[in-house]
Formats: sequence, structure tokens, C-alpha cells
Amino acid sequence: MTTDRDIITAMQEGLPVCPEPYAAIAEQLNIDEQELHTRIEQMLESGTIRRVGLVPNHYRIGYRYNAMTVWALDDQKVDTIGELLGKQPSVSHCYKRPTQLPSWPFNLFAMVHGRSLNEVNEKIEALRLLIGDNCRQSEVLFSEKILKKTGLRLKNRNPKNA
Amino acid sequence: MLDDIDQQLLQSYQRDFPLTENPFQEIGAALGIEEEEVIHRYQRLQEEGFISRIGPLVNHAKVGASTLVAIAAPPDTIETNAEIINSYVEINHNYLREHHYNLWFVVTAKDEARMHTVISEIESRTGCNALVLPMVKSFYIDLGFKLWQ
Repeated sequence: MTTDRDIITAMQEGLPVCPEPYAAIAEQLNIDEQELHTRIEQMLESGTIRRVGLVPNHYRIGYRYNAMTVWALDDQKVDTIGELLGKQPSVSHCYKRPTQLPSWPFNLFAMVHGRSLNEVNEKIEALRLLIGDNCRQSEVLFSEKILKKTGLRLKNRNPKNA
Repeated sequence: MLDDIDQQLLQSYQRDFPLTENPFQEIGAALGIEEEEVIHRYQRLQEEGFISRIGPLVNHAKVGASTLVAIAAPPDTIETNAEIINSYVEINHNYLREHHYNLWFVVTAKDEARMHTVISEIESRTGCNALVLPMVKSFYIDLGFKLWQ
């Protein structure tokens, strides 16, 4: 029985760039190509897979600046503000996370990317205006260096599939 | 340099990459170019590092356990501590950020137990307390990143 995990593991390095990429993965899994398509569709429907597509390397394409903005909002306001920030084209991810008082009072995270420092700062200022006085405290954490970046890696439980 | 076709290949297929026998043929038909050219361009874009990979984006929460973690590493220990963190197969992102909490990484494990083991091991090996910040709610509808306006 080929599990979802087996399929994800077989695809996590990426599809081969060749005329029949799914057939190559199906062969590796020892299943029909049609079954592979169906299983991927099912995982998309159930939400196990968010999307199938290419993963661009933003940094290489020119988005050299990325800032993690963090905001301390009242519990009653965090969802409304989160929805608002999530809709902004300048925001690539927006998540609510728990606080850890006293060291970490921030409960809303929004990632902003840009081709220059100026561009990122302007985008952040625009967010600040949107949020207005709903925010008690905020910080901007620029990334200095990518120390590791890979896709999701599931450990292979079954060495013969390695 | 990236021409218009490269830009479309990068922009338009971040989601809904064709789930068909010959996906590159379908993309070629949509853009009015041959399958062979699509394949050739994607190979080049991948070799030159513009594409990390083509494949599924997995919802970590559904196949295991995942969380964002930060530690405040003393400046002279950043390199050693980053090596310790990166040595785990469960770590797929690790960023150095300008802040008191300077190492930010994502732990993705097969289950909660393993996730907490990795975090505890990292705490004891680095001597730093971990700020564990799992996602509570996502407000972003992931449509792929708009690379060009």
C-alpha cells in the first residue's frame, strides 16, 4: 500500500523536468500514473497539499530584502487586523502566533519582501498606517542571512524506497 | 537575464501546475511555445537557481507537527549554534535576523513528540532557551508570490 507519505516523499525533491514527470514518479512508487494523479488530487482536496507548482527562489529573482514584522495586538483585535494585513499584496505570509510573556509580546507576524531596503521600509510604513493605534508595540526583524532553506523533508521510514 | 517568457513561466505556475501526462506540453500550448522549449527553459531556470523545485507544497500541520522557533544566540556562538540547528533533518528553514532573538528556524517533525525532542535537544546543545511560536491561525490565502507587477 502506497501511503500519502510515500507519495510526498517521492515528490519532495521536485518533479523531474522531462516530458512525463509524473510517470517517472509513479514508476518509482510502483503505481499507475493515473493513480498518482488521483492521489495528488485527493491530497489537494483534503488540504494535505496546499498547491502543486514551482517554488521560486525569491532571493535569486531579486527579492534580496525580507523583513518579518511582528505586532502586539489585543486579543479581540488580532483577527481583524490579521485579515486586513493578509489581504495586502505586500504581505507574503500573515500568521497569528502565541505570545511568550514577558520576553515575547507579539502575536501577529507578517512577512514583507522587496528588491530594495527602501521598498521594504515603504511597505512596512503602509502597514503601520493601516494598523494605526491598534498596536501597542511592534518590531521589524530583517533577515541578515539564509542559513538553511530546503523544502519539507520527510524522513524515509522505508529504506528500500530511498 | 529573464525575458517575458521566463517571467511568465516563473509567475504563472506557482500553483495549478498541470496535473496531466505532459504538463510541459500544456504549459507550452498556453504560452504559444513548443514543449521542448518549455522544458529547456525550466531546466535552465532550475540550473541557474531561479527555481528551487517544482512539486507539491505540503501543509506541514497535516502530515506531522511544525512550529517556528527562535533563540537568542550570543554573537560569538551564532555560527556554531547554526550548525547544530542545521544538522537536524527536521529543520527546513533557518534565518539569521537582526534582533536579540537572532536565529529563527522552522521545525517540522513526524509528530509532536519528535518535534519537542528536537527543540529540547537544540536547547541543551546550544544552551539557549527556545521561543516556541507555532502557528495559531493563517490569514494569508496562498496564491503564489507576485514576482512582477
